[in-house]
Amino acid sequence: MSALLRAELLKLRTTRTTWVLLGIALAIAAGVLVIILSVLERSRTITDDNLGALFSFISIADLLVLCLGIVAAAGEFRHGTVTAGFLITPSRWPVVVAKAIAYALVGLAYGAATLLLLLVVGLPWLAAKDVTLELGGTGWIEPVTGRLLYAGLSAALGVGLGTLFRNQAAALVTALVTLLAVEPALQLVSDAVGTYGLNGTSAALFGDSESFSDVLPFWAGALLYAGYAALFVGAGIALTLRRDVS
Amino acid sequence: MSAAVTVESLTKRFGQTTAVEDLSFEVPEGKVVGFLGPNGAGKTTTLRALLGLVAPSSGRAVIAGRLYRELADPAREVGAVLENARFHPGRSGRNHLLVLAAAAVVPDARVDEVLAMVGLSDDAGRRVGGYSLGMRQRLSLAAALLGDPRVLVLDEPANGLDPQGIRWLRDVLRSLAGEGRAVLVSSHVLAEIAQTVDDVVVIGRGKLLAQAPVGELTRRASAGVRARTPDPTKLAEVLRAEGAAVEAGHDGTLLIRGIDPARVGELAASSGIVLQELTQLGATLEDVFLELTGDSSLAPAGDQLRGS
Repeated sequence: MSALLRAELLKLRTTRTTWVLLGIALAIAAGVLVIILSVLERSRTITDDNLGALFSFISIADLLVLCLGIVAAAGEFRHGTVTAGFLITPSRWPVVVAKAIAYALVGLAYGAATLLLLLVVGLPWLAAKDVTLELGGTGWIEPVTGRLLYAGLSAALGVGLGTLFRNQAAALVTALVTLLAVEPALQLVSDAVGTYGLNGTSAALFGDSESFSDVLPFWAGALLYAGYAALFVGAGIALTLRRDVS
Repeated sequence: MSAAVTVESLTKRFGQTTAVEDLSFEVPEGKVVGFLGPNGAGKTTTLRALLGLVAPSSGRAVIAGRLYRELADPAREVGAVLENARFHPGRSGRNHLLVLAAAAVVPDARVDEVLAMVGLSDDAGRRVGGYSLGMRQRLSLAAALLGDPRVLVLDEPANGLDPQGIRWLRDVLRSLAGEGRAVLVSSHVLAEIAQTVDDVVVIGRGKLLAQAPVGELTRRASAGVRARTPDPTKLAEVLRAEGAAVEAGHDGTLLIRGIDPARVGELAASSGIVLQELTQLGATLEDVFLELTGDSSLAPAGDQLRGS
């Protein structure tokens, strides 16, 4: 598995797509941060709860990390490179698992980069605006952990979707329409979708109780989102094992 | 000792289409076997089944007695060049090989070795998107050689190669065989590989048409004799009594097989038949190939076959 992981990390380093998509994601995250900080009123107080809402906004850019996972996994089928991988590892599933882990690591790194952005740009800016931070005790740990987990798991979920669909466009459209249109529409009809859906789960990860009414506890949200990622990766593997490779 | 490659009663159906039907043949250790057939004959499907990429509907294809997925370290046992090998266009040739080397746990130094073997060292840093078809075939062969495998499976490796490329490929096949590797190489153009292979397996419409050493096919190819006589009926009768196969040619001649021209002359003389022409037909391996696969709807264009 470590050999396959090494191969996957080398693969993602040696294509421009990775760097372009991560660059755009980081730029969007920075943009969102700048907008929020510029409209933030002076001399107010920021608490743990506000941190969750802030992360929720920034996580819009994580869609691109999800897309990165999709593009990478479905791209193997598009470019036919999946065949060479399966020739080396004919049991196939370790290839998909290694890719999911590799992209989870990329997602984590990206999540860490957004946090770094917050420290380097956000804190001095807040200080200049005379904003008081009341992140008492350990309250910041869950949203920060959630921020990293969400980015990492989203990338792995993308790998699962890409493997499942094999077609980049179909996987991308399905993911974006589900997250941006179908789920928000269903939330209006059913509270359960708001709580247990992909969007609601992310709110639980950040501890964002402002955007959603009935948010799961942090640990439940983390487990559920990891479950979604595992489900799609598992479904992708199940189909990959059964299909002929052309 | 088991053969390097054994295909046993292999059948593969895609929906209503039967791509390969009850196909059996072997590639002995250390031999080069040409896998021939017109386009669409089922060669690629057979090779993909052998490589574990396609699940057979029935029967099996094994390497040294084991299914591909049962091989402990496939990259070191089998090297494969697949038809129209595909690469990520944005990755350089060298990086493509480095990725495969990492997955197969082959040292990075081996990457530069195989690049040199296929003559790609100078272009290895360029993005594959800018490679010619011939360069892609070379890169694909380099990938197959990464694990220094004993068995090579090459699907139409000559596709897209120019005449120099085809000569290069022949030399490579010869040198690989000289190192004692078993090679199964498919082609729809017999001339590309005839000089390099020990045995040929010919298939058409998914079925085995012939498996024989090249020499035997050549003998079969030169067996025809054409005779012209004012009395073809009598000559045919005499020859058939001697066990020859005789057909009437389209221009009043006789097409005779299974008997050499000298014997035809003797028989004609002893029966008092006048011979106006007696010709040993210069049939080639291509003619045998065409005859075996002789379904006009499936046979490739004649100019390709007679090209060399």
